[in-house]
Amino acid sequence: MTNPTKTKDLLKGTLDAMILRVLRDSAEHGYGIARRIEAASSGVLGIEEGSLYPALHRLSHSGAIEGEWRASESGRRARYYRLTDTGRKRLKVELDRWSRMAQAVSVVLGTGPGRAAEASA
Amino acid sequence: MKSRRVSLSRPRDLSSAFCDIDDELACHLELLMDELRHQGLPEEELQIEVCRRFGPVERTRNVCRRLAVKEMIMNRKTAVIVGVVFALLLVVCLATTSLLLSRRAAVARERALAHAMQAREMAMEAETQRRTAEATSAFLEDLLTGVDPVAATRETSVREILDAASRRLDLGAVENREVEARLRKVIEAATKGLEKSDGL
Repeated sequence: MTNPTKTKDLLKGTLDAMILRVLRDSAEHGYGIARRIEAASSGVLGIEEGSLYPALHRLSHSGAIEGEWRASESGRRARYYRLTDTGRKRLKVELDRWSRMAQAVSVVLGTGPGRAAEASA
Repeated sequence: MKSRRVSLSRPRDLSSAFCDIDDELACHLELLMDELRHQGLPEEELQIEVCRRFGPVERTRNVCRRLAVKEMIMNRKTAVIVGVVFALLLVVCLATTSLLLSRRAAVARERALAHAMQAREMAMEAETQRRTAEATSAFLEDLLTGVDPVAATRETSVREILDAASRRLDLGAVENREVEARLRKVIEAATKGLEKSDGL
């Protein structure tokens, strides 16, 4: 039986990890984060952009990211977020977790290295 | 470029936190609309596409506001807890210090009392010694000046003086037992010395 809370946490954790990963490279505002996730996934991950903001609030409250108001490239006043040291540690944890989970799912679906060879035979 | 660092976990106040949320969402929507315009989307389809990509703006705003309120409550609770803990620590420290000081004061008081008692005892002892010395001196003075005037023509011997002193003591000339004991000791020592010299 699926656990809805666990699934929700997993999805929330994935979005958090994606935000942290984007901010690892440089500071970015919400719109910029959405564009970079979209570009990095070649348009496959079309996240609802509004859902970024509660995630940004949570991450900021936990100290993983920091917000700073400044003018954007277009001259608009925007809140840029940057990764903190806590955020870097959190990103490492999230990446490890995602890697383990992806590997497990891959094995179950039979798309792992062992199963793939078996399927092709 | 002017910049203002903002900590979302500690908003200055709720209304400014709400303003920040509104500004942030407005900025996102404007940038999105710019992008869509740039892509050549007609104005009448802009809102629909923005809603499709961003999702319900009001829902997002409300969720963010609820989070801001929750964070502020948590921060205040933390501040209250920290304050209470600090106050309790202060009270404990003050109570401990006060207890230690009162104990020290009690010890010092006891010591001072002991010293005072010792000093009083020493003063009493000194007074007794003084009285004994005075009484002894008065007795001896009285003894030497009270030599029989009839016999004054001849030399009075030491033995006679010692015998006279002994008689006086037997008659109770000295009331103080201590003085009497001391005088008897002196007389006894002098008599023994005399007997020794007579023996030679």
